[in-house]
Amino acid sequence: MYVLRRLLQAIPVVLGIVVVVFFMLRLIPGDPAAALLGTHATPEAIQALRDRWGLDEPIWVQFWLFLQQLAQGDTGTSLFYDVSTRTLIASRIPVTVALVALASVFSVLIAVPLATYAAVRKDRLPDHAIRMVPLVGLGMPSFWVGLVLILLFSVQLGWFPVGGWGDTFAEHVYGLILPALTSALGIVPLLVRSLRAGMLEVLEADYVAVARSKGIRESRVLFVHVARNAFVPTLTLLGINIAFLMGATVVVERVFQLNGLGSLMLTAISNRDFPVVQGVTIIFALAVVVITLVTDLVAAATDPRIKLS
Amino acid sequence: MTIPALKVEGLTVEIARGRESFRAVDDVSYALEPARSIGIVGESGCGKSISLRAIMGLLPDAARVVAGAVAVHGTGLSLEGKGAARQRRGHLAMIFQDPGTALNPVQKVGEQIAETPRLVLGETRGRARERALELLRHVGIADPERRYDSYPYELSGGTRQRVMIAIALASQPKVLLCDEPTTALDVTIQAQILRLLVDLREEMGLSVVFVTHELALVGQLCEDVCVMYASRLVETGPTPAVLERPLHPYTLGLLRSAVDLDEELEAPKPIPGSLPDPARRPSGCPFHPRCFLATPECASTTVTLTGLGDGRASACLHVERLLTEDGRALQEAAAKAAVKPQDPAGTAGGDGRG
Repeated sequence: MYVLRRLLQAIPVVLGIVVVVFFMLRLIPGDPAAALLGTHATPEAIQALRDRWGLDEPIWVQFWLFLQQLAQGDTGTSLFYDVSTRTLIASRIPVTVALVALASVFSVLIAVPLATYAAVRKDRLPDHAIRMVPLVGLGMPSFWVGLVLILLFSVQLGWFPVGGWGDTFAEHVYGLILPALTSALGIVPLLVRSLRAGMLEVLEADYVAVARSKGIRESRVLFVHVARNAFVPTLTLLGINIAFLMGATVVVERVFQLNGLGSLMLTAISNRDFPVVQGVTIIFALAVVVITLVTDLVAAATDPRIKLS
Repeated sequence: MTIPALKVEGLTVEIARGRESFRAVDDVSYALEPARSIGIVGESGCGKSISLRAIMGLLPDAARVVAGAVAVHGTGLSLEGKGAARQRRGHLAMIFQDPGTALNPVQKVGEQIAETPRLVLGETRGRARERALELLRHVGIADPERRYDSYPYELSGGTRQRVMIAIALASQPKVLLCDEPTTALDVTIQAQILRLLVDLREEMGLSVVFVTHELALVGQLCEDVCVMYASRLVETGPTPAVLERPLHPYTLGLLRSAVDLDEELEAPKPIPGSLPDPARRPSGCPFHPRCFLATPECASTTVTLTGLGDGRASACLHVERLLTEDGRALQEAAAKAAVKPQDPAGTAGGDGRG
């Protein structure tokens, strides 16, 4: 029941995204075809593009055409590469998915132990240090962090490649370590602070005192009573931050010369390749919807109270 | 002389708040005889709950025991350290004030009860489940088989508190510490839970420490009473004697502020002023700013709990007056004299309950 309701709730969100992406192009002041082709475009070229996009049709006909294309997983033909956006995007997805996945793993591996340690050592030196130091990192943009990591680990120490994706699986993973770390460092500070607050709330809860008073081992108190209650807020937080990570890939992929969706997006924007921009935007938005949905479903499976509301 | 079921001696707890620290419990001593119950009464914030947590070894991080000793049936208990709470199994169990927060929200209530027999007493899974069902039945929960698989949010407040009691009983304790076990419940449910506690106590021969802000409850439940004010005990003694003839102005004030349903309904008569901030306790007797007997000496003289015979003790400089004169009459006279020409809002209203 809950699963069904959550799925139904996702439908209007997806529709909203589609509408916004559709109007992204149509709301450009003046003639979008002329705007996209630039000042040197011939009137014939502009008219050709108008025909191709059906810009002379009534707006609802245009929307219907757009939906028809979308139903086939396409947002038109790339103006720059001259292949369908579906083919183009499909070829770039694996890189970005791998990058986001590895960055999520890194942020969990870094943030969860730090937050736990800070919570257990509340108001003592480790706690203050763990809360303060990463804030410095928060002030640094990810392209800069990426460049520093490249300088240190690739140029100076030569441990990792400067960039690129490689050919074998091992090379893929190897090449992704620095970019994933760069992306992860962008969200770790916020993650640590919220996780610490969440854990403290659980650690100081009455039911944890009750569990201790039973006389069971401290490890069981922590793993069964504390961890299970801290898991749901942690998961929700991670879901939100993974969405944020996807945005960060746009910059990170460029810095590390990875041919993923992010760098495709950047290239498409500078080439005014609007169908591609639309396609990537929809993919990113859909990914966020799916990740949120999955986090909510896992949370519901863990916490019996969620199915109520 | 018998060995007390629970003996608390000189218990002193300090709580750190920012850079300063204050005594939340100051030199509290009492002895609970086996199969009897003792009530600890005082306003919210006077330190009564934190004293129970100290005895259970469950103090929050900011608090620590700086002095004192606790013994159960003659066995001393350590008051600090990670293992402190574990050491109490089979000796002490505690019932918390709010069953809404004291039960793990994501674990089935049956499992929360069965945890003790299975992991602490070493029973098998099946046997632990049976034991949990037995306890659910024992605390008056109908259809325990179904309730075993319920989550706390599916239960009413009263049922949750029954589950809490079952958890406490699962470790087969000799002494039960109750921290305002009925405060968070509806009035109709309160009576049922109290009845259950009284029945269980008699049936199982438990010794009970009952912390509350309602003196009337202590009158019904406890043979002995300790009145606590601003982290210290100010009066102790057998409950009937204390209620009949209080020997501390604060006890008199608590009795006067209680709403008596047998009398004609009138406005409650709060003790003037409010409980002092524990970090800024008045000098001398901490109650003197609110006391109708206060004299200048009260602000400068340190008062301690002094034995008066018949098991009674009071920490009042003017206890002689209360022994020789009628305390209630003195109090009424003082209240009349203190009525100001205009103060309809009652700006100095300590509510006496909290």
